[in-house]
Formats: sequence, structure tokens, C-alpha cells
Amino acid sequence: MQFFEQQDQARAQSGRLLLLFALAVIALGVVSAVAAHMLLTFNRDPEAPPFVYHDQVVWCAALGTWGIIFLGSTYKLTALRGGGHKVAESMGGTLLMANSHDPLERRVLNVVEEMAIAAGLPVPPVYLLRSESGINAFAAGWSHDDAVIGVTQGALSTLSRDQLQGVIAHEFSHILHRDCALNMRLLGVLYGIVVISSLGRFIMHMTSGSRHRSTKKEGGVAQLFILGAVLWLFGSLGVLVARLIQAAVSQQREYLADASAVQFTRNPHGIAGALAQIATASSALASPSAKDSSHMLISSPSSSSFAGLLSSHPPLFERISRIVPAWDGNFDSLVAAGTGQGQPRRNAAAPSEPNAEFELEPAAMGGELQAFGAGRGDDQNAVSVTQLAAARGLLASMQVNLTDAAHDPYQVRALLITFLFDADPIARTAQTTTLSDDSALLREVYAMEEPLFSLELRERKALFNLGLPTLAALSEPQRHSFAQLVRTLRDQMSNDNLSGYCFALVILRHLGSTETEPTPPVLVKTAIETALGMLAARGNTNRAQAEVAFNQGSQRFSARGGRLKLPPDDQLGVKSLHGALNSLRRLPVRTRQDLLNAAEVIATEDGIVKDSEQELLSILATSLDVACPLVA
Amino acid sequence: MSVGVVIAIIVIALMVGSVFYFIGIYNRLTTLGERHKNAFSQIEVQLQRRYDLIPNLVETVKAYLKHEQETLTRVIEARNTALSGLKAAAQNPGEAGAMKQLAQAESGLRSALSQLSVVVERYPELKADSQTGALFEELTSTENKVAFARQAFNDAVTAYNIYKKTFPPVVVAGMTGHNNDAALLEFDSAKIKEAPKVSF
Repeated sequence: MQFFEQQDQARAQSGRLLLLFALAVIALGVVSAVAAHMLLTFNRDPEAPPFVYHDQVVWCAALGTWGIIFLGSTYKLTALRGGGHKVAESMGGTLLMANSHDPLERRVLNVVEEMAIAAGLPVPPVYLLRSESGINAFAAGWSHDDAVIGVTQGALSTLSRDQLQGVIAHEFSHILHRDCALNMRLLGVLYGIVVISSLGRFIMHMTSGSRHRSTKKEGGVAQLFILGAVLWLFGSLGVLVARLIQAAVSQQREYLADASAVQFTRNPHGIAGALAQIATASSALASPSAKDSSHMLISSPSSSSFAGLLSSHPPLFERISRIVPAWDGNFDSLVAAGTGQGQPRRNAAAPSEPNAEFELEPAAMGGELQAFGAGRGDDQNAVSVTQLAAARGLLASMQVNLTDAAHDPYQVRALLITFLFDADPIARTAQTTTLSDDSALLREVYAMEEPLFSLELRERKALFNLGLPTLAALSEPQRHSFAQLVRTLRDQMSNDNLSGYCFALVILRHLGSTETEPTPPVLVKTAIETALGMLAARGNTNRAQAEVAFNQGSQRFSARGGRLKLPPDDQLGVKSLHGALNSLRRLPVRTRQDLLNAAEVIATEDGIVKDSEQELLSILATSLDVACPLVA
Repeated sequence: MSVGVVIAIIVIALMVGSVFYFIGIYNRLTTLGERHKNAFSQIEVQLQRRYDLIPNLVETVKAYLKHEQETLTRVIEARNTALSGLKAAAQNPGEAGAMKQLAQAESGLRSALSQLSVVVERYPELKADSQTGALFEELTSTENKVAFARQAFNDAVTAYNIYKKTFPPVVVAGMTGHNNDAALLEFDSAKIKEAPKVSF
């Protein structure tokens, strides 16, 4: 499946899904109105006329139901607005410190880092569900910036490294294919419907308790009890329908994520072994909020209590069979194979026989893998084995003290600040003055600058991505003051320091810092012209060449909405970029991806991709929240 | 009758609303409680690194300081006390007694270390030793990291304590076992100034 088709399909699916959800919600209101009316009709006085239309009650019931669903959804969505961190914390996860020395924690952190660097994503923070002994994992977040990965203690201690890698690759597929945002939205609506059935159960509970005590109001209480029962019944039915709709989509995404896990790691036994482990052990979670979030987990949190159709996850047996068609149906053999083959398989990425393995797979994966197309070129949301190997090599080759600095909450600030330093002497002096308030920090920045700039570009970018999740360990006030510092340094930048500006933007986004003064909206057309024009102007020495490159790249957009023109040079600085990126961020993923492709065309137009172009390209991708895979 | 039912529905909806509200408060309390406990693990990492450096330092200077055995023993002892204080504190971050014990052990270690650095001043050949210099330098830079981690921990503790005292949460906190305030971890600030000097 190609990237765009995939995106379109996901969008169409979520569109259908939301329509069905809306229908279910409307039906719920109608049903409760009818129920309320029937309640009154059955309970009428004997003298009253046989049929009275209680229009007020009907409206109250319907509006009340819709109101409750609306409030419930709003409540949940507000709670989720904080992003992946909030979800992870509500499930009882604790943030793993990036500089942890615990060997098991270290292992999962390393696996996540390798995968993220290979995919060109900022490394997501990892949350550990310490009190959960079942094997499970999840990914959550609205965008690549606030994505987090959660794993249970059970997964950490039971799975081999390869199996763990399979699981993490599965979760990365969810992040890359942006399943998490859709899931979180559904979580909100679903919660609203759950509230209805909880409300019914609550009323039933209250009234059945008070029935023993009061006999006077027997009639009214009985009525309320019936009302509660009706609410509970239809609420549960609503939840059932909603789950059914949701499950249909979720199951497909799971198959896709399983297939991606094999594609990313080139090791079907990793993920298959992990699934087999889950089958022999358990993926059950004790946390009460686990049920709401079932569609985010790698395997259903309540084992086999769901009927097959209702489950957010396809049956394990079916999933494993799709991954390893030659499987004999015995879970134990896979568990053993997974752990036994761990050692040699770990280097499956080495150039030993990648082709032989690759050819095995289209058959192995059935329709699912063919859908991926032959290679990376088609699916930009993929990680290849060579990239994974390159990422591992990169991480291993990097100087220990720099990697340590990226993992250390104190030093990571210095490391990230280094990326904001300007080459322009005047701007630099101003920045140094700002930093001199904290002399210890400034010393760290100086100490880090030299080794950092002796690195290759992609190593530097990898370090940057490595450092971002470490910021999660900062306390609220620390985060705030660091954001303040970054903003000041950004405002002191010279108008040419485009990459520095983008780096600052990404850091601020990771700090969850919102801009104090909103930027005036910029026309999308102008924004695209600015972003592409910038790249064209940087990559070419004179304006004529820049214009050629610009026209080459902007063809795709010119067809869509009038001819694009290269803006004059004075409109291609940091100041204009600021507004432009804000507008571009709101575009659909597909358009942003298009934009990046156009940018790539511009950068390669003259046949050479300069380091500065490469850097700008990759940081532009990150600031547009689009993955930019490691060029191996 | 119909009005009665409507009122009953509204009352029940309000009750349910307040139940959800209270659950929300409880969840927030739990999250904040977990957060400061987790923040301690960063202090643990940094202090542990410090405590791991000290035996190396002692080993390096031992050859020169044959006549200062007492100072070295004091450093090692103080280091061991601080280490066990850290272990106890990590079991129960935010518990007043454990925090106080750790703070005391830390200040003992700091005074022992500053004494050592005074002694080192007296040995020119030791001052010139690059490895000793590097170790002292690392101790100092770890000092900054400890301070930063401690700040993060204390911020988290303060957020928890303040939230616990505001109005509706104070009721929920009383009912759900969030009774005691978490304790801040304060190191004697006077001691920090005379902590290991890097002025070699």
C-alpha cells in the first residue's frame, strides 16, 4: 500500500467510523426518549386518557442523553489533550529516565532509540507500567511530537530482546501511521457512551439500595429503577455497537502494525514470539482505565472476555499465522524459537543475506505485505532494516559522553542549546550574554560545542532527536524556564539562521510550550512559497538558479492552486518562516508530505545536496511533524 | 409526576457528575504522588554516580596521602553512610524521616570531602596529577546535576502538596490516604559552598 493511499484509506475509514458513531449517538437519544415515554404510559393513572403524548419528557430524555454523551466526551478529550503523557500516566505508567542503569530498562530504551533514529522521528519517552505483570505495550499521542510508548513490567522481564524489538516496532507503526490520534479521538466519544451505561448502573444501584428503607415512595423509586435499567441496557448496547465499529477498524490496523513490525525488523520471529508469549502467559492489565484504551495496546487487556468480533485485536492465533504461515500452531515452539534465535537474529540487518530474507516475505505476509509495495520508495512511513542497522551503528559509534549528555536532564539543555547557537557574530554575542546568567550551563555548552560540530550531520541530528525525550524528566517550572531561555535565544538569532529557528521550534513543541503572542495567519500559498523559496535560495548561489530550482519543485502545487512565485529575498528569513510554519502545520498530513517532496526536488535540482540543504530539509520535516528517515 | 422524574434525572446527573469529578481529583492526586516519587529516581541516579566516583578518587590519592589515612577513612565511611541513606530514601521518596536522614548523611559526606580537598591542597605533586583533577572536576559537575534533579524533585513535591491543600482535593485526599505532605529534600546550602573545590 502506498503512503498516500494508506493515508486516504485511514481518513475514509475514520470518516465512516465517525458517521456510524454519530448515528449510534443519535439512536441512543431516540431510544432513551422512547423509553422515558413508555415509562410514563405504563405508569399512568387509571383515570387518565389512554394515550397522552408527553412531549416535554421525550425532549428532556433525548437532550439529556445527548448532553451526557457530549459532556462525557468533552471531559475525556480535555483530559487527553495533554497528549500521550496523560494517557500513559492515567494507566499508571511511570516515566523511564533516559539515563537509567537498570539493565532491563536500558534495553527497552535502547530498542526504542534505535527504532526512532532509524525512522527519523524524535525518540518518544518510554513509560513503564510497573505493577502490570501481563505482557503488553501501547503507543499514544496526538502527533509525532507528543507520542509516548508504554510497556508493562511483564513485557520487559519476559520477552527476549528480539521479541521486545518486534513489539516496539509494532508500536512504531502505530505512531508512523498516525493511528494514535484517531484512537484518542474515538476514546473520547466512546467514553461519552460509557457514561450513559455507568449512569444507568449507578441509578439501579442507588434505587435498589433505598428500596428496603423507604416504602412510601415505592412507585417513584421503582420508576427510577426501571429508568436506570433502561439507561444501563441501552447504554451498554451503545457501547457494544461503538466497540464493534471501532474494533472493525482497529483489527485492520493491528494486522498492518504486525506486518510493519516484520518489515522494520526483518525478523518475523520477534513479533510472532512475543505474541506467542502473550498467548501462553497473559496480556491482562489490572489498571481500570486499560479497558478504555484497549485499542492502543498491542494485545487485548482482558483476555478472551470479548467475543471475537468485539475485540479490538484479532485473535492471536490468526495474527501469528499471518506473520509465520509455516507455523504449526504450537505457541511453545515459537516462544522457544524467538528466544533461541535471539542472538544470531539480532544482526539480521547485517549485509549477510538481506535479499534472501526479503524474498521470503511477500509470500509470508500474504496480501498484507504486498500492499506495502516492493520497497521503501513507495511507503515513506517505513523503516528499513538497513536504516535500523545504520541507526544502531550510529548510536554505538557516537562518543559516549555526548550520548550520556543527551540522556542527562541537566546536560541535555546544554546539548540542545548548542543547536541554537548562531554563526553570525553579533547574534552569537547576544546569545552568549543571555546564557551567562547560568555560568555552569554556559560552560557545558562550550564544552559540548566542539565535539558536536566535529560530528557528521546525521549524527548531530540523531543526537538532537535522542535528547528530546530527556526533557520529559524536567519539572514543570524547569520546563517553563528552559522554554523561556530557548525563546529568548531564538529571538536573538540572525535572520539567516533557518535551521536554528526550526530546532528551537521543535524543542519548544516538546516542552509543550505555547507561543505567548499568536502570529497572524499567513495564506497557505504564501506559506508554501516561503518554505520552498527559502530552500531554493539557500541551495543556489544566484537568484536565476534559485528560480529554476523553485519552479521545478513547485510544479506539483502550481497545478493545484495557481502559479507559485519565488518571493523576494528579503521575505525569505526567519521572521517570515515563523508565520509560514504555523500555517503549514495545520495542513493535512498528505499536503505536508507533498511539500516535503517538493522541497526534496528543489534541494536535489542542481545535482548536489549540500550539508546545509540536507540539514534544512530534515529539520523542516521535523518541524512539519513528518518523519524524515535516516539516510543510510 | 413528569416534573418529578425530570428533577430526579437532573439530581442523579449532578450526583454522577460529582462522582466523576471526585474520581478525576483522585486520579490527579495519584498522578502527582507518582510523579514526585519518580522524580526521586533522577536524584538517585546522580547521587549514585557521585558515590561511585568517591572510591576511585580515594584509590587515586591514596598513594600520595599515606599519612592522611584518617581523612580517607572518614570519606569512605561518610560515603557508605550516604549510600545507605540513599537506598532507604529511594524506598520511600518524600517520606520526612528518610529525606532528613539522607540530607544529614549528604552533609556529612560533603564536609568529609571538603576536608579531603583541603588536604590535597597541601600536596603539590597530587595537585598536579591530572587524574585527581579530572575526578574532582567530575564530582563538581555531578554536584550541579544533583542540584538540578533535586530542584525537579522539590518542584514535584511542592505541586503535590499544594494541590492536596486546595479545596475539593483536600476532602478527597483525607479520604483516600493522601494524608501526609511529602517532604522536600534540602541539602545544607552552607555546605555546598565549601564542597570539593576545583581550584587546582
